[in-house]
Amino acid sequence: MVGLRLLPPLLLQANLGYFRKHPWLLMFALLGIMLGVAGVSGVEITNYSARKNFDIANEQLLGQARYRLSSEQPIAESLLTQLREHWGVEAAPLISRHVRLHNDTGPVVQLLGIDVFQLQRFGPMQEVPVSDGFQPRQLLLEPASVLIGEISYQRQQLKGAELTLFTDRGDRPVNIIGRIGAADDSRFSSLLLMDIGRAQQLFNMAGKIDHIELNIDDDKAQKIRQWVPAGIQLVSVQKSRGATENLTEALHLNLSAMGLLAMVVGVFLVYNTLFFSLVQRQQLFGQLRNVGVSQRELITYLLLELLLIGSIGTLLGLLAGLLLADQLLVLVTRTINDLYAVSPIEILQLQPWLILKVVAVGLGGALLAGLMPALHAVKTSVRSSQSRVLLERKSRQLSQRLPGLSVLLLLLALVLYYLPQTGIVGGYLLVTALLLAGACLMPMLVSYSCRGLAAIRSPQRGLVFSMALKDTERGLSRTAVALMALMVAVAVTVSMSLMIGSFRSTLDLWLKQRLNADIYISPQTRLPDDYRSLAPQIWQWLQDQPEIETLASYQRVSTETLGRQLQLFASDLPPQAQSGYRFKSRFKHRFKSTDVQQVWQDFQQPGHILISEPLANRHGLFRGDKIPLMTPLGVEEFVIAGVYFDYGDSNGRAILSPQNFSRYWHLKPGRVAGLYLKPEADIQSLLNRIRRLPEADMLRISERRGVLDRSLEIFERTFLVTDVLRLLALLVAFVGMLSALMALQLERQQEMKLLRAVGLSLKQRVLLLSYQGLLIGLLAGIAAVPVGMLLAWGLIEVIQLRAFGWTLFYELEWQSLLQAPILAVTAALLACVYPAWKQYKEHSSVPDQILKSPPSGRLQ
Amino acid sequence: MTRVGIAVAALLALLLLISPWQDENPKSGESTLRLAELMGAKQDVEGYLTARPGPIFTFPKDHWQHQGYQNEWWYLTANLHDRNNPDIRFGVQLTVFRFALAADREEDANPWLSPNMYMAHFAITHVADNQHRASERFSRQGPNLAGAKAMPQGDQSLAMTRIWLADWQLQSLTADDLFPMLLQAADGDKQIAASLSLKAVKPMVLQGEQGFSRKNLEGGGSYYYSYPRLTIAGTLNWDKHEFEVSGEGWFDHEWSSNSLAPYQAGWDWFSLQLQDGSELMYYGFRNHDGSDGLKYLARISAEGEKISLDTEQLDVTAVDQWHSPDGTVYPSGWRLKLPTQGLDLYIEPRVSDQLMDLSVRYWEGAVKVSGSHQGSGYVELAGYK
Amino acid sequence: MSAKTIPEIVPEAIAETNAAAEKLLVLKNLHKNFDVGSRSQTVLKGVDLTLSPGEVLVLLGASGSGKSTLLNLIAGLEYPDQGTVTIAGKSITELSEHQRTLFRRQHIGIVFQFFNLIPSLTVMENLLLPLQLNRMCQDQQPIRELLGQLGLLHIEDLYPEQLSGGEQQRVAIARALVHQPSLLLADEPTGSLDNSNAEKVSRLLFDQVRQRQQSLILVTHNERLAAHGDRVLRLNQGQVETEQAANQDAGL
Repeated sequence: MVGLRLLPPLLLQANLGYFRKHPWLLMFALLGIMLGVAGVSGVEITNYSARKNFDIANEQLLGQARYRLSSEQPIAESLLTQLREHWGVEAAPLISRHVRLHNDTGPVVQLLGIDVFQLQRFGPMQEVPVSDGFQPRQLLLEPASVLIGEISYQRQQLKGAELTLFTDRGDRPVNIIGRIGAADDSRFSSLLLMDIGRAQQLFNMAGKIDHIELNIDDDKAQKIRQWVPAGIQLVSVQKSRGATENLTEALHLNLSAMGLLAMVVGVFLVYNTLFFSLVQRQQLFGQLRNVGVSQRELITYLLLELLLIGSIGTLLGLLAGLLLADQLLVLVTRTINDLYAVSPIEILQLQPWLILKVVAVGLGGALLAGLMPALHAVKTSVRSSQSRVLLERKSRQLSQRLPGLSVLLLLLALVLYYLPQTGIVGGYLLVTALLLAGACLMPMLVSYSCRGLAAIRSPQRGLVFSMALKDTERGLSRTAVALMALMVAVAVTVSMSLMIGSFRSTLDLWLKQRLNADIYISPQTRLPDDYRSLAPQIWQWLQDQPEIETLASYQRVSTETLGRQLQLFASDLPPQAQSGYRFKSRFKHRFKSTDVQQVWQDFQQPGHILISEPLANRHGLFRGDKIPLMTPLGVEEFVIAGVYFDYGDSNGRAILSPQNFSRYWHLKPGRVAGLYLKPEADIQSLLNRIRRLPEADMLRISERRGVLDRSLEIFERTFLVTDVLRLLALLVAFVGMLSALMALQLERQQEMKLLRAVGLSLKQRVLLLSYQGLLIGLLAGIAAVPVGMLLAWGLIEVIQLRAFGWTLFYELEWQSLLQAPILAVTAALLACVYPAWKQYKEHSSVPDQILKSPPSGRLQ
Repeated sequence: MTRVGIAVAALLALLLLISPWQDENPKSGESTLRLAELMGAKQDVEGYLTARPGPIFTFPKDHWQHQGYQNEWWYLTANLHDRNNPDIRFGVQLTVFRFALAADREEDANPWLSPNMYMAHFAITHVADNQHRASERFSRQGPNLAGAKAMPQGDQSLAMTRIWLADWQLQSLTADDLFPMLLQAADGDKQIAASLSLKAVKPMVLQGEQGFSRKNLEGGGSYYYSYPRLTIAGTLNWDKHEFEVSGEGWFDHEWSSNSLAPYQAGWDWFSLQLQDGSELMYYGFRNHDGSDGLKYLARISAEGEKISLDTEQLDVTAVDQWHSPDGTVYPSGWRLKLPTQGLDLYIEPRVSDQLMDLSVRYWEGAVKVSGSHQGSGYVELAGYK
Repeated sequence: MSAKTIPEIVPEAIAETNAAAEKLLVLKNLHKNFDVGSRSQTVLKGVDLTLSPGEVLVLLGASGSGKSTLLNLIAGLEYPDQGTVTIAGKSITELSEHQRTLFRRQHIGIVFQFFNLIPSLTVMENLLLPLQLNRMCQDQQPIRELLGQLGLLHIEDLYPEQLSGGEQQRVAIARALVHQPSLLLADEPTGSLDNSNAEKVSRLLFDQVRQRQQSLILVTHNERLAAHGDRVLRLNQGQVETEQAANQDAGL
């Protein structure tokens, strides 16, 4: 703030005086930055926190080991002994399970069974405080003893040492013998530690462990990979870490984009407000320059002002962003939990660079928005008499160039569309280009509309209305930016609404087609990593039931392909179930369907697989291509029998026939049964009989409706995050419009005095204000509809496809479309209230003030 | 015997080490300070078996780990030389320590729940290079991750004694005796490795009173036997070089629960193999007040007969000092005189820095014997601060 | 700006003698065009003019004759298309925009027809501003005296909008004088006032200028004011038409 000392204090005071007179301008500028920054920081903090929490959870799980041995089934611990004895490598056992606290509805936490005496080499917990009196040997010596994170202990409001855990083996009492980590150390959130031996006891798995962690170099890893028995995979920890990161990548990206859109709208708002404040002060600047304030001083001052407004707005935005992030994180975490069944940590993580980034965006946005008008205002301020003329001329020149710019932007968008390799970034550039192209057309649209309307309307009938039309057209130098801001804000909300609506309806349709069995039966599971199958006798029993026409069976395992995690299904699909799958043709066009019959025939052949669209899109795979898949027998190549539309997992899914599955996996297929009943079957009596089965307690029996509802509910929750952001964008848009229009109207107060002197009645003046507001609001709102539709197309056809790999069905919801003009007009009318009230107040005050000192008094 | 003390100290340190979340962590040398507590009256030995005079050993069972005793170690030292060039000399040490976290054994077959913790130290002294490298390993007993017991060998039904921690091992090659034995240990980071076969030239010697080795007058003691002379052949690796070596070694096995008295600070221990075919084993305690404590000296004749000698006439004087990097002063070179036996020996370290700078710090190294007799041996210096 | 860089202009520099030392202001061959809409309009077509220290010049001319433009060029608010402006031996047309501003704030006082006062500052603050800009002593007592001389008492804490038009113009004159510039430029200072007020204000202006031995260029279309000038020039269609000794024509 060196500049501050060099500036004459009265220069500051003169400008401060201006803002004292027009506090609403200051408020709107601050609000614009605040909302923009709140959007960006809220999303960024949420994203960062969710990622960081994910990493923390991984770190707990993966420790510092470089490699890990895993298998679909628990591993014999003798393998560990062999590794230690024959290979002399550092190896540590690990049991990693999810359990619930208290009972089957309690919070999910991760239980790690570790060799407590190897913590230093493998655990992340070095120099971590632990509660008084705790000795690591206790974990070994005392039965069912656990260490719990202090943070969880406090958050879950646990008392004393006794705790019940719900495990896949039922309820187990454990004894908390110590608490680990500081009360705010999120690494220990949702975490229980046990000694490996005690964990084996808890899960009845003597002699078995889930993983072996290895501290070895890549050479040794190569050798050990050759050596380990079939069915056991050696994975680099880095890689499995990467795989879990991929899980949420797309979600975060989408959130980021929405945050950025909020910022773009925010910057438009700030630009608009600052522009106004500068135009209004042009006179002041002229006077100051006449007195001898140099350009440099004025620019320095304006920069300081910008920085100050930017800083305060950013600070406020950051605070609001934190509040927002606090809410968003809960939603995002829940989404991750719903979609990926991992135990998430819900803690806001802050990083100095993150704050810096947000501050840079906020200040940068303010400077970006304010710098050009500020420089312009200063440059033209010397000849105060002419500046307005110049300004209008300049902006008219600019608006003449805008349509050309618009065409260029559209061309850019087109190029980006045909360059899929530009990826998601290219996708967002494309959408931004579309948005700006639309915005650039606004001044022209207004100009033509005004002229058109003026031509239709007979002049003598609506004097005020024609005045409003002419004024609006001529005032484009002032109003163009506001118009563009309005249109951008509304179009963004429209496009988001359309995109989310399309997403919803696509998912809805997909679920309804896919979940078409009448009844689903699966083993009761309350924990994420339970892969138990339905008992064979239940399958047998089901086959004997007369009501059942046919059965479908499903099993799901997690595996890897092309460096990513993949959900693999082993499904036996009768024709009824097959009808729930739609296939993508080799060509992009989705209406041309492939030979479905052929697909299902191929599917049954050995070495064939069905893969989901996201997986296919990510790697450019088509029917007939080969795909490598990690199986317990090593990496095997499968021929793609078909690519089916799927929205369940952006990482992709794949289906094997049970026969193909059994060739590689020991795991039994048939975890879930889908029951297709005969048309006349009595579903209730069948359900009753199933419920009377001796194993019924261990079964989860769901009717189609219930499964569908539950699935939809989960997706609805996923949408909650986007809904919140959409609401935020809507709010920003609304406030933006309000402020832009209000600024417009208030700027006209001087003119109103003149009009009043000329003889316009209060009613006429208020009408004039309202007409103009309405006109601008309506034009922006209407223009936002096609632009929003175009944007939605970009979001769906380009961004969704590139980010998630799935094709959504573009659906135009008339509610979303109608929303735009309604929003715009409401804001426009609301924006007239205060200026109109001001008119009314003036009307009832001393009437002849305007005549007292013309013309100098007029403009002050 | 005294090395039981090391075992205890080491395992205590091990526990402190592997409990990284504990604040009251040992500074250097503090482990030996704890030693007195551990081996003294304060140590809670309740529930553990204690060493008492008059043991009756049964072999090979007593080569194995002794469940119920708090600590135990198996110890091998050797003075070796290059088979082609006797001037290239080496010292080798491999020690396996066991420490029980609890006396009672839970009746659960789960091997992870065994309270036995193991630690092993492996060191090679390269005399010509004037260098000494030491390495350590830890493990709980777990599912045969470490141990000392009879293990079935391959497809043979024979079970042979094996003392091991991960891939470091002392493996018997016969079912009913400890020797011949195979020693294997390697540390890739330190670039040292040993693969040696060992044969006993002289029979086992029960130290102290028929195998009960007294530590103080308060009744503290351990069970202790030795193989005082082994012939050794095999290979040593140092950096990228491999040496065909041969030489002589010494093996000890000792276990106990009751340890040092509170006033005892540390000890010096010597095992010397003289060229006349006899061996000497000496230890002397040092008390905290600076006075000398209990001493013990035994000579094993060339025929293998052990004679415990009266220490009244014994004079062991340090003739030099070595300053360790942390400032501790160790004696370095001694004159041992016992006129009644005609002994007047100069004992000097082959390398002055043979500090075992591990979780437990002590000096243990190869020595050369000259004077009235020529020979080699190993010396251990514990409890110096 | 390296070639044109000059040290900060200090008052002493003005006293320095050189070729034009006896003239405070020399205008040579000033041309100025304006682009209005699509066509270019020539406002000044080669104006030559000199002014001695302490001289009062009245510049007459009809609306649109280029009076205000000429004044703006002298003040350095605008830049000529051709020609030079030399004030106190300093060619301000050779100065950078920034240097011109620094020169103006120190040596020139300006009074316009209206919009003179900064609405968000009080009278006193308006008067302090030139002092502050020039980093001069900001003693309020001399300012009060000046206000007293201009017949403005007890208004220093009022805002411009609380003043009458005549008062506003008198404050504007005070502000143009307060930092004691060597040259005063007044562009229709009484144009927005009624006759009696206009008379009062212009008399004050002339009195103050003469009292302080300052030079003044007064631009007006009011022929009656010409009587107050040492010299009267008439600007017609961008050119100086006649030069006459004001006293000869004086209507007084």
